[in-house]
Amino acid sequence: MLFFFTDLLALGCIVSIMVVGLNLQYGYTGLLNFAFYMYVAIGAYIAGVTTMGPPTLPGITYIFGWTLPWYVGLLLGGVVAAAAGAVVFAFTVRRLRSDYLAIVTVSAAFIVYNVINSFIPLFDGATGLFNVPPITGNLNVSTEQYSLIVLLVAAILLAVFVFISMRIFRSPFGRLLRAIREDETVTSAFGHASWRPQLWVFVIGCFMAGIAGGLFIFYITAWSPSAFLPLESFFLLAALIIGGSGNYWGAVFGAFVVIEGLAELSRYAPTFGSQADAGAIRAMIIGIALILVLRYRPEGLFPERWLKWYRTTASAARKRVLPGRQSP
Amino acid sequence: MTEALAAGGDVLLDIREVQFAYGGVKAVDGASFSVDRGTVTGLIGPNGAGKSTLIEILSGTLSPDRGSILFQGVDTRGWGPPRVAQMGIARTFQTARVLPRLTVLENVLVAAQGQEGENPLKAMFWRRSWAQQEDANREEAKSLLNWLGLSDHLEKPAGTLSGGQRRLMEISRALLAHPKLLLLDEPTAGVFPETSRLIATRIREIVAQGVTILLIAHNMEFLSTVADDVVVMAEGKVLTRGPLDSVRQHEDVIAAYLGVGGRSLTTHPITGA
Repeated sequence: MLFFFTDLLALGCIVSIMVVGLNLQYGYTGLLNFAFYMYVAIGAYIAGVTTMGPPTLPGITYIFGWTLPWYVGLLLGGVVAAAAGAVVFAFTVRRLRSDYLAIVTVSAAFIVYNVINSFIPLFDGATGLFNVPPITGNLNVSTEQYSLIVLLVAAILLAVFVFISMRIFRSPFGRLLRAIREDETVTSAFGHASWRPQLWVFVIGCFMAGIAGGLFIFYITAWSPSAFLPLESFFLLAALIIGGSGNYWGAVFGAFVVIEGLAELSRYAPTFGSQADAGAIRAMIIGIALILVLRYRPEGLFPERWLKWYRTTASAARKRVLPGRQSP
Repeated sequence: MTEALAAGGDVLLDIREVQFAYGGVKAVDGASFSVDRGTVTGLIGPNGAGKSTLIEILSGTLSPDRGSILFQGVDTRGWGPPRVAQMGIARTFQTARVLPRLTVLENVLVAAQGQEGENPLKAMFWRRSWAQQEDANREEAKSLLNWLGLSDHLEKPAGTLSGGQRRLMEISRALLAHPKLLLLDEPTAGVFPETSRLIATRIREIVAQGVTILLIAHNMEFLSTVADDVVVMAEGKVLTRGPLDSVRQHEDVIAAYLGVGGRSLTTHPITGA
């Protein structure tokens, strides 16, 4: 029973890091990125191949094969995912917006998926990576204990990333991002070239995705193309929209309830034919929840406006009038 | 032409033979005039005269096909809006543009120049480096909004403002950028007369503080209150310039408004007689 909860919470924290990263890109800045899970996969693969050592079994092949400490591999996964984000940004995001951007990111996700799936020397193709060393190394810990340790690490990282999201939201940088989301013409007319802040936030979001991917592979100790089907990005986006796009607490709520909660719910739902239908039921439930939220509460369950941090008093504002300017 | 249409003082903005075409349609066709520092210049003309296109060119949104735009002696032709804005040109829009989900105060704060807190690293990890500047900007923004009668709306989402309030918010926003030149595109269009009078009063006060204003307006009563000088455009060309009373009597101006050979109107469109 303990394992059930620690497993659920550990996965919830990892997915929350993803949705918090996606919130920076879509919620704050309005960049519709349907390839987000691609960066999760990049982080996972890099963390794996930089920590698991060279292949030992015949027929298995992948790049690097280093034996770096897990935290270095995790960081490298984040950095490489961020670098990949910067490259994709240069070729797509800087030039495209809204539906055009969405189409291109979906295409990018399929291209990367197929390259990784088909080009075996990279990450061993469809077989993927397995026997990735756990973050506890050679320590003898039970599955329950390991779940608890990963939960602790994931929770700390989630807290750090939520804190960073909060700092960004409450800063002039965050205000600029949200202003760009609303109307780039206005921000541009007041001296702001949109692409610079957008590039920053895109890279930071991809870094978070990479870190989440690294945590994921260290937790489940395996990764293959079946783990990052393009549909996963849609689930993350659905979680963000349902939780409340633009609100980092909404992102965490969406990750826990929509991705983890509904996944568990569908596991206990009556299956039609086989257990494999659970995934389909999960997708259906998420789809229905998304439709209902968009219909009845388009701002999400935790709207961005709830984060309003300016608590100015109108009376104080009235008292302060610039020299030479009189109140009407 | 340029000399004839120069105001003759300390020139801040000098527009020379500017041309711009949308496809095959010439929207601005060799327009030339200058704007003196510390004055309010009205830009008038019938619909399709090229006034708003010229404002778009001056703000860097459109790049002219030919001609030059000298702002403080520097040719800004081909510069994008961010660079033009950094030079000290702020603007409002023909249809008021607000950032609907941001508060009114946030809408205005976006215009503050040189914000340290817009640096991502400082935003995330070094709040102290920008907190004081942010507080000062916020106080100034509140003060400006108060000055324009919006102090009760600071925390409201800007999308909830009325048409007139949006115009006032836009002016506040432009002023927070501390512009040298303020471009106002129909600041009183669709605005309640009382608000229109407030805008007129404020415009004179803004100019008194050393800001130069170029504004488009169709309301002659409003223009007569605020404008030192009026430039008349028609079919992309500058017809004439001068005090409003004198250009009202100009033959070309009357013809442009009425249309040469057009049907007679019961009321004169400019004089109202």
